Amino acid sequence: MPHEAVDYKGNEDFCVALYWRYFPIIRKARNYKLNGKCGTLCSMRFSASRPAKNALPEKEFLYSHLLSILDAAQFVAESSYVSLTISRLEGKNNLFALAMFENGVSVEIELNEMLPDSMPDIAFFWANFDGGCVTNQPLIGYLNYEGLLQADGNGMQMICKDSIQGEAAVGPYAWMKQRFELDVKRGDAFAGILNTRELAELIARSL
Amino acid sequence: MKRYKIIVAGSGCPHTPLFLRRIRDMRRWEIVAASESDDRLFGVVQKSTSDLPDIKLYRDYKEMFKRHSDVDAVLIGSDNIYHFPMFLAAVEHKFNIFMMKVISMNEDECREMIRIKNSYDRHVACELELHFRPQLAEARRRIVAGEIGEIQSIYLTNVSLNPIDLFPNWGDPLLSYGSRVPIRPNSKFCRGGAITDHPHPYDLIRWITGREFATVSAVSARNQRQDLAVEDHAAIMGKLDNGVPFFVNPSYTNLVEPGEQLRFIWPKVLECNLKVTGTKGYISADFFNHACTTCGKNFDSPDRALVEDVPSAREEIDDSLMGAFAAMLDGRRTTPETGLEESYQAVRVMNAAYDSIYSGKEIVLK
Repeated sequence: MPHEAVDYKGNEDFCVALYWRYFPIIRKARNYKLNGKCGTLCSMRFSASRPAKNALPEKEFLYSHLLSILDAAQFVAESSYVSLTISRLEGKNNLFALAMFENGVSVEIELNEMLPDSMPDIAFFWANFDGGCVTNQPLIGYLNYEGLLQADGNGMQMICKDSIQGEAAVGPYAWMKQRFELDVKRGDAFAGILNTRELAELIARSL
Repeated sequence: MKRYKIIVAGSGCPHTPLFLRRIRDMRRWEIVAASESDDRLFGVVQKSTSDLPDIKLYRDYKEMFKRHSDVDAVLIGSDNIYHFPMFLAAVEHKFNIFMMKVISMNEDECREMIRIKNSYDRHVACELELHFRPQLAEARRRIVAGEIGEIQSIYLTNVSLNPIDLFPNWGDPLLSYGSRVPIRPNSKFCRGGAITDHPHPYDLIRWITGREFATVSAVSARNQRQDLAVEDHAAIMGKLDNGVPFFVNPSYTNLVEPGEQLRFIWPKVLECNLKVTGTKGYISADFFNHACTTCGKNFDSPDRALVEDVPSAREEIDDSLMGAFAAMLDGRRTTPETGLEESYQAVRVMNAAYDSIYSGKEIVLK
């Protein structure tokens, strides 16, 4: 591991487990940087979050995990670091970092191993070029947090909060019900039986 | 409820056209007149108010103020550089004042406006977005109620497309920042871009945490758009006054194709992700309350997949910035949802970020 390699004084051949440089999205971004398909690289952002149950000992957190991210960024940027600033929650595996390369590319890092145990590991990466971007962060869905998410040790909820005054709904079905009740209250709901009977008959005939 | 007469001074702020549409829908406001000194923007104002046959249009806001001194309020919607003189003139005329972002990047002007406001017997409110996004307001409610325990870290992005493509004046550092200050020593790029455009994240963090910013470190990458006069990227972090680390990215990294027809390259107009880690839990919220993907030849950005929000539930009138402002005029509310103090505190963090980028050092806010 990187934190071990730093202190290694022996003579044996070894490979440093710089895991992030092996992450396929990093390879993809590096390929695009090399072949110029997205233009010139400008900035990168890493969001690396883990539940507390997966948290590393402090030395590994800093000198393996954070180090591996910095290595991956350098692997893509192909330049030397000129600055690194870290803002860390005192004594915890939770930090933000900003770095700059000689070639003007910036790196933003969110490294947080304090998520509730009900949450999964998250590893998102963005590379912004002057002609495009490469990212594995989904546009919507999969914890891209459209709406509202709340998690603790007991579980995770996707919450729909549709208006300032209304109640929150947990999940899409509760949301549909809430919208119906809101429209009824406001007098905006579709009035009457509509085509309910016909549809019931259609279902009965189809069964 | 009473309908108030309002005049609009300047339209250079990119949000002003949106606000003009919204306040018409609200039916609390009657737009009586508007002014705009810039030729191109005046044409835009004419077009966007063509359905208001009784509206009076002016090239000079001072003339408009004189001729409509009986209105209830003025919306100052100009480029930032004009906010301070317009504020002073509005105060002379005893208007209630709503000022669009950013009140001024000149902190002396900010403090002077606050000083005047403190003994002013009319109402003053300012635009800072996000308080009335239901999911963000709910996130705040739960956090303040202690549902995730003590806040340990806070992450917030406000990444957008480049508004300068649509509003060229916004890319003039003199109009947005108020002066030409290089982003870095000897840089051709000046302050006045992405950081200046996005004060909302700092306000949201203060609103959620109840804390002040203590230290700020920032970087700005090489511009994605080399033809801009201002920065299009920044990343900012530091600590709040209770030691909680924060991160903000207010950049313009969502690319749009150059040209007259709007065509998104990155199919999402805005990324506004809030992530708050607490001692007992975690909350995250996004600007898009519930997104869908659309595509088709008749949409904005034709034939490109685009992430859009689904229709929202109709809000109560008071649950908006202009609704809250109207409630102040009604006497039902004594303080604005966001005012000059909140705006000034955001400006302090923004200027600290600029100073950090320029100096390469951490800035301590006193």
